[in-house]
Amino acid sequence: MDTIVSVSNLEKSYHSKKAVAGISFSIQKGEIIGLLGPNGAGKSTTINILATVLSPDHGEVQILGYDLIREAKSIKKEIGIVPQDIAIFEEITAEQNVRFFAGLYGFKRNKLNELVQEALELVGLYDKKDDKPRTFSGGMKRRLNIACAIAHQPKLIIMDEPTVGIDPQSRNHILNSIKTLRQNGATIIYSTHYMEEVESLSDRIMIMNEGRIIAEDTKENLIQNIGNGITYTFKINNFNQINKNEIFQIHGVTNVQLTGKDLFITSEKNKDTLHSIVSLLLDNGCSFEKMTSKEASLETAFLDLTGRSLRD
Amino acid sequence: MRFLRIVKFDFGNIFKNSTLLISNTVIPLILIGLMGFVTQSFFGNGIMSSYDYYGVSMVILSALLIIMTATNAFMEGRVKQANIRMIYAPIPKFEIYLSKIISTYILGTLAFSSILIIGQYFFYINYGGTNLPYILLIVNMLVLFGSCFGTMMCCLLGDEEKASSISQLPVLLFSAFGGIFFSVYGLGKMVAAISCLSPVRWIMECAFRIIYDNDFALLLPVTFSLLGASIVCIVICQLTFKPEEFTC
Repeated sequence: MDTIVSVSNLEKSYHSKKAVAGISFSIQKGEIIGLLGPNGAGKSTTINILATVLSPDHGEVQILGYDLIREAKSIKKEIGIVPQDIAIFEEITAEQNVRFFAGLYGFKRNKLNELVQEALELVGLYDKKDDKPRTFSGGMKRRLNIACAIAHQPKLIIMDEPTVGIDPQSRNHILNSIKTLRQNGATIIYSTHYMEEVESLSDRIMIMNEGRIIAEDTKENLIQNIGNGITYTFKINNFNQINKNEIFQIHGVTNVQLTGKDLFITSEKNKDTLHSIVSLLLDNGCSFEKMTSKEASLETAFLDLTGRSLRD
Repeated sequence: MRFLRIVKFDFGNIFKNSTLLISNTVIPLILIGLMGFVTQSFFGNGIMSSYDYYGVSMVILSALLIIMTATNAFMEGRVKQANIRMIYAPIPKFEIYLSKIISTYILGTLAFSSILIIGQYFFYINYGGTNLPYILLIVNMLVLFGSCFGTMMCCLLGDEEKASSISQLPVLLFSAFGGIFFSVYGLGKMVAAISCLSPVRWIMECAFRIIYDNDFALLLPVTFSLLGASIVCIVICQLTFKPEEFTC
């Protein structure tokens, strides 16, 4: 399999804060990589470095065999970035938007016509090509945002939260478009806050936290290795009265996290820990409004690894 | 070819912005009419009417204020957001800011040349008669400088609002001391001496000497000073423009 992205010991700091702290990974041709991490985890910095917009402080990056520093222009020709913010002109038509941005890659008129049509068809906006984006819904703008990024048929597509705040119909359309892009041979890095998107799209998942990759595997392996068990969530009113270590001492409890008023306790499957947990909480004078339980999932694995929920 | 396409596109964006279009065409004419009308009595029946004076000074002020158009064309919220894609595209960074400078300059040149021609031939403002091309040259150089200066401020500050508000201060100060709003000679020797420090004063002086005295002594110094300052601004753009700031 061809290696499309190869990153080794990548570091980037802003002032004294390390945004990316020596990460290494590789991505193979045709893969969809889900990039997960709470806010400030270093995802956007990593994406901006791969997009050749930011220079790394340290480390080596090769994209499609080109060196990130010395051959940035060659890399730019081969990658497409879907930025988090909608980057389109509202006062010109959808077609003019795609045509202008694809035109920056130096295509001749006939080829450009073909590419513009393909991109608009892929995102389901061809019948709206003559409309101005200011008349579009949020979901349609997001789809146009993608069309502008992929019209030049990049080999590597980096998507930074492409489905923020859109309706389910547009989301499904976008997710299907991404699957089609992969079928057409593109490699995709997909950063999102929506766990279910990563679950349905990604071949592999990278979880970043505090500038590091703390887990990288398939969804199934991540859940099996890290999040195998049941997570109980208690909405606690007065946690101060109990020590986290006391909960850990319950046989079968593997993780305890407190986020705001939410107490997450992960327990091994098939261990009857719930009774002991509830008793301990009540015996220590803790009151809780609500308790839910969830079997191991990517979300619980993420929580287990980062101590934060994805939208924190 | 690609660069021309970007310039054309940027020009289209400015041209479609009615606020920018009005501020560079209608507003200067209103200012000339308003100031000329209000100060009519101060000018009497001399060789220069109030409309002649403000016809020159308000065009100079408006041409300088093209800085605001340049900052808007470069970093106005929605434009800046869409420009992110240019940062991701395989184009050199100079094409990004230079296209804004050139498109702003084209708009300014068309707008202010039209104002001067319309002013001279339809409203009978004295722009020098056959010397009009020299006044056009000065104003166009001023537009070039304003376009470069506004873009440079965006590169330095990375933000349209900051660039606009900070740029306005020296423009208004230099304009006030340069005699744009009223002649500074009536305010005493001290103020007249201070006004010599204002580049705007020399541009005004140059224009009036050409119009009324057929004196071209200041034409080359003014033209080359503005051209030189524009080149300095472009060099500063190249040194300070950080494409990554678009993505923040």
